[in-house]
Amino acid sequence: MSISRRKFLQGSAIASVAVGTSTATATELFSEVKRIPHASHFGAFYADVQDGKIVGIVPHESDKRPGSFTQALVDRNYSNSRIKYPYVRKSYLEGKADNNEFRGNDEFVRVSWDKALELVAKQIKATPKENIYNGSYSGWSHPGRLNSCPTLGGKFFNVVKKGAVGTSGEYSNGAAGPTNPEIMGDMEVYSLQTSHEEMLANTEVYVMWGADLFKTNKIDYGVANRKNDEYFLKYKKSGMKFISIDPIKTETAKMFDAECIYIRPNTDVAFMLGMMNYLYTSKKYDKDFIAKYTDGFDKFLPYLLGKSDGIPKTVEWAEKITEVPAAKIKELADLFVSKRTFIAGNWAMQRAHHGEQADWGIITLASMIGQVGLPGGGFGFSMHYSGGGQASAGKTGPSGFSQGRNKVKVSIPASRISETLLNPGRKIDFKGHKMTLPKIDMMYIGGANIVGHHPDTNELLKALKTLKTFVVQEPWWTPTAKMADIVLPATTTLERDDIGMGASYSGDYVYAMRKVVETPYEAKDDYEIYSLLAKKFGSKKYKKFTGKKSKMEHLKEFYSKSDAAKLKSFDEFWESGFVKFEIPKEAYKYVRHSAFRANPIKNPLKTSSGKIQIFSNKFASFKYEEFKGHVTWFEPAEYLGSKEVKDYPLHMVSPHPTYRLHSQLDNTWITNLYKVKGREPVRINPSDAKKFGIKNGDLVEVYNERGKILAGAVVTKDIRSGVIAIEEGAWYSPENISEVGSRCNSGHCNILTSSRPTSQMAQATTANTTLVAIKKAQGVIGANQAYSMPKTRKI
Amino acid sequence: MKKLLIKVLLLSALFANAQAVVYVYVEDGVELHIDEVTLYSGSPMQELSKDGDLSVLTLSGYVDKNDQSKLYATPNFKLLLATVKNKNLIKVSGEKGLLKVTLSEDNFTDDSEEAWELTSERFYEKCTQCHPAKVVEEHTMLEWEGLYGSMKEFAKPTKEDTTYILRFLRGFAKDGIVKEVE
Repeated sequence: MSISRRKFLQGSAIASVAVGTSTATATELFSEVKRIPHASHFGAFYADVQDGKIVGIVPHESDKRPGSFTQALVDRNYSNSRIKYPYVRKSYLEGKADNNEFRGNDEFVRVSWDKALELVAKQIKATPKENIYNGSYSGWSHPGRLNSCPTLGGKFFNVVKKGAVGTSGEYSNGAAGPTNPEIMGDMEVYSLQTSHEEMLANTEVYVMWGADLFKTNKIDYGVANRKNDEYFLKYKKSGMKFISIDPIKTETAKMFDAECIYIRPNTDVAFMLGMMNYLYTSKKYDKDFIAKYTDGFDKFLPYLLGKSDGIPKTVEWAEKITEVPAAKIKELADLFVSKRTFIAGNWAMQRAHHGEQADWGIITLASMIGQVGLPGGGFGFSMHYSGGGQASAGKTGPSGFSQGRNKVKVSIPASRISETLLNPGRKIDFKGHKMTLPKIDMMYIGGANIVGHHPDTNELLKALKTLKTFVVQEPWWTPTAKMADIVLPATTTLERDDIGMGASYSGDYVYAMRKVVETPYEAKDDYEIYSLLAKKFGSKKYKKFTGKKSKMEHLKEFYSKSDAAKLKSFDEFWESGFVKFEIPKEAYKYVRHSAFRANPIKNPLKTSSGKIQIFSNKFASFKYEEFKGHVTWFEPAEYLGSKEVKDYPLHMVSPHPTYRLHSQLDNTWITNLYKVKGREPVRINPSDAKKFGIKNGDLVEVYNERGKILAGAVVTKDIRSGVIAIEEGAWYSPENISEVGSRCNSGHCNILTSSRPTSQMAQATTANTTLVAIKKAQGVIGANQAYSMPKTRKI
Repeated sequence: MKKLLIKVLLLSALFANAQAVVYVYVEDGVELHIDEVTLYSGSPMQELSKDGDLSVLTLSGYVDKNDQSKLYATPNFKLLLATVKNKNLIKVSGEKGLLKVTLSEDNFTDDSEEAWELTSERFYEKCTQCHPAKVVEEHTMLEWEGLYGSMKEFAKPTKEDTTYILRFLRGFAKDGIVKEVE
């Protein structure tokens, strides 16, 4: 599609989005502005391109609240932090025996693509597949099906090596993921939610249990549409009562004028048990629901009443742990059973010590309330995610590559990477069996930032030094890329053709993610990089990897397998940029678990009893110390009730970022909107700020035994006293790269988080179980180098 | 070299002896319709006799007393071996059942991998586009049904996809009948 200069000016004036990248020239007046469709996790848009440069971003019709995110993509494309050429770390290239000691503290040498690929292929050939970790994790780099790094990485290793060690589970829902299917017969955390229409028509009390609906729905695992924001306006006017159980007064809580219960972090399960005990002893729970729809309540009851452990889980008991008054706990329990109540769970709560209990607690509580499966009642664990609550078009989207079969059956639990690298051969408990941590000599990561998302960064950096070879494929010099031995520059999503779909739940658009601009560097598409690597393994492997098809042929094939192909030819789709599906009327009436509620015999849950497992014989049979057959309160290793508060008096939570997608966009101008003196903000209550001599805008040092970081103080009543919040995703930047445990000059919270697992069961991350101390930063402080290139040179 | 083995324990439960096991082969789909009988791809059988192009084979499995028109591979009644229009075709003895069929050699194979190939391919094609495949034998059939339900909103499988994939998952599950070995 191309448009006239006049039309462009009109369009950009309406959208107010022109992004100037150069001063106007005489030729600019005459050169054509092309409008090219593209789509991202931040939304779909058209890029206006003139003379090979992006001069504007115009939102797509599907983006219901266009914002700064998509604008920032342009800045990211032209960022100084781009990896322009293939590089190899100097001492690695020289083959020094102790070269891994210099990892993260070494020059990079520019090499040719052929040299870089030859080195990578040589190491892959020399390393047994059981000792290679394919760490291309998740699919958050972009929503394209052709250049999806986790898919391509899996396919590549399965083709050329018949597999490699992979990742088991995830960071997002590492604890709930393996727990909920046994309880509900479904993971629940990704499942279709009750429609907003049903919620608006029926819900009287909406409990946001740690869920920050407005913030986290800005982005999407597919292509974001921010349609939930339209619904949020309706929610606000609906008259329903909102309750936020959260140590933070979130943007959503403010928007909905919610009653805020500022709970102590990590004590939510005690809060739930207190309510359950009260509902049982006051006989206000729904006995009929428990009898008809649940299994094992009788085995849970002795624990709830304290008959099995001598501790009745009364509201007074819960008050001591949660610091929520007993009277308030009772009041809320009374409210929940008297009104149509929906509990929106979240994922952060299960990223904590004993995180397996979080969802189980909500499910058990909701069962006692008895509204599961009713319109606007019960619970949901995904209202905050990817447009949760939107009705589904129910159409099949474009396909993608199959990764094929991986002969290596060992996968490392997502949060156990450091433990694995540092302790090969160690046996750990995992989901009811023993697993042996593999020996990893080579790690290959494409499109993921492990130094960003893995807990306890200093431990991870030490662990990465045990590798013989570390390959990173990336468009930017992320903290992970800076730790690599071989760096392969990838194109950005704007520099290549792809195909995507969105939003995750509505599934009502297929998008042409057309190449917007040529890469100005030597970067190659992720698909092309893996293809060229496959070529190093012989023509048979190359043909198997590529299927003897061009990139465009793959895209056409992916499209042909979607329902979109029934509406438009590929050429029409590619030209127009999208296909829209109508959402069937009945989809707006969807109520989660309603079929089960209507007839639990005909529509049983996929659990051992066909009902909600309040007690699980399978889980009980594991005989784990910190994971039982029913929801249980376990004291976290670090929280405001533990003795460690003497040294580390603040509980740090690290929620999803407001202005990023994890670590994405931290290298753009968007940071100017919120960073404090160039560092990640730390929210702190005025009483704590006063106690520690901190003023709004101060640079502070946040520290514990695992490390220390600089952050910028934001003194606010929007956070409970005793708690600080540092959003995850700031790029790590050591003040002194040659010093082990050097203070992070950027505010990367995972320097402070622990790699302690949730329990023997899920072995998941516990990033939100972190105590810290804080003090005003003193002395001379250098610039934050997080977004700078490392030292590089030509051969 | 990849091989698929019908689990030894199951074989002894299903067949009096474990000799000459062959598998239902369906060229396109998972169902093979022969007169009043529908056989499902990958179902193990024993060849009793052969006459030219035709063989007489038996399928042995479990029968739900409430519906004796279906023969299942496992006592949880989740993995179908065969369904019949005339329930008398399945000879029932206690919880077990025996079905005798006559098939041409195009409809069965002694290569278990070939018999399960279509369903296996569909699983890997459809379910590894966003994440790597889980190790199938780590979960039971019931667990797979739950996990599949959790993921289908994102994968948007067709009805045919679901038929193929659940057949594969049930077959290779912890409590299924097939095991992949090197």
